[in-house]
Amino acid sequence: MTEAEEALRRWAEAGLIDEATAERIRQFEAARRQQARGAPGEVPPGERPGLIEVLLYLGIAVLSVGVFALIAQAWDNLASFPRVLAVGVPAAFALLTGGLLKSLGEAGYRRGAQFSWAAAVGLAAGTVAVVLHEYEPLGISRDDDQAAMLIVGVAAAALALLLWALNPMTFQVLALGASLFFLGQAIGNWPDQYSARLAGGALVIFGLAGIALAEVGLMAPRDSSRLTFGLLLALGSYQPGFSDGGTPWEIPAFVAAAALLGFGVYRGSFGYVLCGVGLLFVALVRAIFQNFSDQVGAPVALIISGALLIGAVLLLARLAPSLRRGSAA
Amino acid sequence: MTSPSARWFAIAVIGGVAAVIVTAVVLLGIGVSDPSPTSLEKNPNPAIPGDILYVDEASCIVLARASGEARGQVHCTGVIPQLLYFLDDRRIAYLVPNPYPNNLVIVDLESGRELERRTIDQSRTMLDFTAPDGTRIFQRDGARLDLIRDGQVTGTIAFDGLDWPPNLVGWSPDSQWLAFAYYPPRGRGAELWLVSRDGRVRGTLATGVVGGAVAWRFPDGRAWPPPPID
Repeated sequence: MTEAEEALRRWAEAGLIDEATAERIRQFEAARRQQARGAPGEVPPGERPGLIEVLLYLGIAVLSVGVFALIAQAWDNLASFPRVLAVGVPAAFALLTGGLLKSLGEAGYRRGAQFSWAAAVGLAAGTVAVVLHEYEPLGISRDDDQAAMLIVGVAAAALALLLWALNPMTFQVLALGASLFFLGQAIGNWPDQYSARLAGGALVIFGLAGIALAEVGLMAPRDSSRLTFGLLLALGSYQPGFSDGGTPWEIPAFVAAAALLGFGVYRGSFGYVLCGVGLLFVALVRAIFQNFSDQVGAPVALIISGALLIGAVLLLARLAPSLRRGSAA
Repeated sequence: MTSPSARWFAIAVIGGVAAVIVTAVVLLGIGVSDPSPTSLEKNPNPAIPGDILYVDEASCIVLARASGEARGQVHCTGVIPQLLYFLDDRRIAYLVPNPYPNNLVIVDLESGRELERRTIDQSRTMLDFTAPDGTRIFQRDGARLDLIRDGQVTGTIAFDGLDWPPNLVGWSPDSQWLAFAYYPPRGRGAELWLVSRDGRVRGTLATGVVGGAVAWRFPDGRAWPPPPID
């Protein structure tokens, strides 16, 4: 018996509704479900991946693996231009394939399009990196890792943003999040010595900007955006204190975890709560090992970590149903 | 699904934020330091005596006034020499590993013409970086070097802004000056620094130096490293 059917039975038994009303409600809900699915009991067309779509994912995955295998095996034997082609052609192919699939319109093909474009972001970033290394344009030395990484990060983020605007779906948001994470690391890598604070600060700003856009309805899909940018905020606040910063820089991670938890409950977002709980758990465990393992010993630190993990899971289990209902509403 | 205008607004926000951060970090040069001393090419320092040989990015041996007042290519080797020598007033030499070990190439200083190639005893090509007066350097902590002579610390040279000191590549014949190769970040070519023994006078003689081979000669004929042939 479904939850709705049980509720109807309970309300009918309590005399809140009569059996005729309950039946009309059943018929209304059944008609609504049928309209949404196409046929009773079936998954709506386009929601379930078909054979062609699966083969498409397989093809994109094989193509990407082939590129990496080529790089691993034959890179040293390739001249500059073939090296650029080895990465650039698959990147262009992935872009074109994504555009073609998107134009077909069906849900399965649109999913394939976002997968293809997400791969294209990575391949295009690789192409830019190879061009920089092989041709040293604009006087940028191939040994200048800082400038190269920054240019690659900017190019990847720009392409990911553009592709998201053309196809605002989950994989495009994930590709955008990944490229912004890379850009954040490139920003942290700009100083003579890598700065985890600078990298983390950039990630926090990217995360906050994305969260703000998601909450005012400008970043879609909202659930994917919340999870992606919540994760960027969590990673950015964690990075300074637990890479090279020391005790004062651990505090932002706990502040961000509390903010993500509170905001997630307030907005009814499981994604924010998940990021907040995950960040809180990892930050607490790292803080214990980083600051107190000498005093309490590794076994006690492990026991505390295990207790924290159980607490995190219980907190998620407690909050998840209500947050899911809030999100659905 | 958001409207196209909303998506372009989102692009403007995230792209704008990223652009502001990247521009600020690059233009402000956050965390980027330049520990190089003043360029002697632009600001010559007559207090630094003698002539110096080094190798530039084109694998050419350059003869420069240590003061920075003048410089010029003498001979392009095609390979990076392992060691450089002043043999006398008219001849210099460089050591290359090919086509056979310890292959000494002697060059006319005036014309840059190769005069002779000969193989020399390996024991005469072993270069240690002890100064002519017996002073040696030791890294103390971070970018500080102790100068030690006869078991006594006779001075310290500190390199502020560096985590590690530059590489010692040579001494002046009177042991009062040191030559260092500094390898800056971001793929810039190595720099040749000249530093007085007390660390007070410093200058960047050249940028884009390769190989780390240096020879130093005074007007009275004294040279470092000592010539490998009689």
